[in-house]
Amino acid sequence: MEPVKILWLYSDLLDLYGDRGNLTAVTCRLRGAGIPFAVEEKSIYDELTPEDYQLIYAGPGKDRNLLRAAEHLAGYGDALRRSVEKGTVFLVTGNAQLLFGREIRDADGTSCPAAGLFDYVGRITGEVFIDDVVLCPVFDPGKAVYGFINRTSQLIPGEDSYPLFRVVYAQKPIGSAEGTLYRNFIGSWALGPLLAKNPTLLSYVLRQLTGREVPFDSSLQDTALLRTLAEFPAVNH
Amino acid sequence: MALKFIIALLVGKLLHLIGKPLGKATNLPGEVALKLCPDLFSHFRFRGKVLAVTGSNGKTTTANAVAHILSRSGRSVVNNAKGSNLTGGVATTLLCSSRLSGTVPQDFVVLEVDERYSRLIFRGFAPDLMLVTNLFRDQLTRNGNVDVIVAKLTEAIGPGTRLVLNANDPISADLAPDNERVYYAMARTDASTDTSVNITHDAKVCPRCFGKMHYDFFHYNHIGQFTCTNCGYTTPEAAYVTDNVDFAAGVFTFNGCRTSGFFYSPYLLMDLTAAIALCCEAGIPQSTALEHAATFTVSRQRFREFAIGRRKAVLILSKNQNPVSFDQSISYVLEQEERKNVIIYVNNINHTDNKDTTWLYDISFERLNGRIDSLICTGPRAYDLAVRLQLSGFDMDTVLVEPDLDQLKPVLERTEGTLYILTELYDANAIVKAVTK
Repeated sequence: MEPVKILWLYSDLLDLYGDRGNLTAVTCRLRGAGIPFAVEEKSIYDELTPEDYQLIYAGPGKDRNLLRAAEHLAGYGDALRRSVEKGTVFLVTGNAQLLFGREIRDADGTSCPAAGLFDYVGRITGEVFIDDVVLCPVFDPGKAVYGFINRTSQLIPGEDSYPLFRVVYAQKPIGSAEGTLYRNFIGSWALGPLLAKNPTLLSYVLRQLTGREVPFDSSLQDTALLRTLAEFPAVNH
Repeated sequence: MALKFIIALLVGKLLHLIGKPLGKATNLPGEVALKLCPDLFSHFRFRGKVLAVTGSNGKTTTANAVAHILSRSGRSVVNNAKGSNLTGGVATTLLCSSRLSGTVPQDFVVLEVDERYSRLIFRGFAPDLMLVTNLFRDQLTRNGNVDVIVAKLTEAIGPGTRLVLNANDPISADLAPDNERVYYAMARTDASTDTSVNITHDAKVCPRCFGKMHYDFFHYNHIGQFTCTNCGYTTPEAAYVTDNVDFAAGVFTFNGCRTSGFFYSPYLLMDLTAAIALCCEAGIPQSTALEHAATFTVSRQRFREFAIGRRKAVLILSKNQNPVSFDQSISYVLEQEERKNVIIYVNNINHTDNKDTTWLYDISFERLNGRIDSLICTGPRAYDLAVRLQLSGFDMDTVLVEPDLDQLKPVLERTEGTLYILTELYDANAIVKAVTK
């Protein structure tokens, strides 16, 4: 069996808080199912060949680092678009989503082109937005997911084009939709180990990645998630 | 002298007097005084030198070591010893030692200052010397990221302040490049590694040019001897160097002089090195600084051994949501040659109540796998820690989960050997109460 090839994009530049947890979750479950895999890390000094991978992951980073990554990634717009259209799984969290829009506007008014997969513009505001959110994915609307959002940038005009989640609970106004799901491109402001926290999302990613159900015992993850969700008042999960 | 300053000073002193028996004397008097006189800090006049200590980790230990060395050297010292390092705490410290004229008469004012608040505090006065211990990812919900802290510190550092910086930290070593500076460093020790043993590494790329960083060795996390393969930025030459370290015996060489001290990890020795360097820069003879550094011990509040019946327990407090701090606690546990169990209490984020557990994935818990009898997860987010361990291949037969502190005791009774309790400062009392009841 050919190994599942995974690319952690800009692992040295975009690595803010617990982002490794998403790949830890994926590789743990692949290993448990006996599915071989190989993880590569590439950055601004490397040539990218997105079509070589079945899963491409990018997490959030410092603004300065993000802009440097954007400069590099902008040259790969066509290759990335081809990969998305052919069904490569992308998991893009936090401000790494800005890399895949039309352009990124910095707080000082300067802008730089991004990879151009989506029509949104990423705007770095510097204003801190933090919230716990409960979300339901569009592919499994009956399941609740927990996300932690901590961001200092926005997507304009927002995330209504290809929403990944319906917002069930948020303490602060974030709209009714969150994230992006276009073919197998998954984007969300929920950062950190999103897949580790939410077995529903982990199962979905593994299914899209391998073309089949990847069985795993999620009882511990389920308990952890349920205990978290139970702390949100008056939310019908 | 402005009337509002005198009123603020008097009110602050009075509140300190009244608040002391009530445990409300560290921050509140300063906070009220700042409300009455917003430019309070700019009214103080210092007869001696002002030494500031800031950075992500090790501030309290380093600042307390500095105050200890200076006072044992016969100098009069005022300091915020209890880690009250925000504007209110610093204001309380200064107003309590100030005369009505605004004169702070001591030979030295040693201020531990929160890195985020430094720009607010030092808007009113500039320290003569500022020591920056290190900069790491730290408390996501409060600090944002390292670049945010660098920007705040850069704003706080006035042109006249001489910096004492950690040559082994590529991030803080590069602060305020136009300011006068001196570096301290620690040479390779037996505990140094060729590759980082920790997940958290905030200097994988050069902070100057994004080039790939090469390390000759790591002390811990991104602290070590580094060179950028692109621009050549390298560990600066240090005026104060710790070398020939024997952790077991507690001895080391400082600028060629053999000496001793209380340290059980590279992390603590870095703090001690920093404290000695700052004292030397402040005019204390090196031999005097070394003599008194040897008698300094870490606060019992942060590290203490105690007994639960016949069983030994060790409480090691880590900074909340700070992976590097937890990594150091884990390193200490691993060095102990005995049967051991680790209890980790994981709460929600203590000041915002967010349920976030991202930071657990930045701590290298994997190092404990197979080297301890059991790891007991407790607290509101205990199951999240268990998931974290399971996904990274931890032997789950050694993992016990009991979220409820009231039910923890029976779980502990199923284990044998020393209990190492790793938790945050804010949760320490609750867990000590649970294990000793």
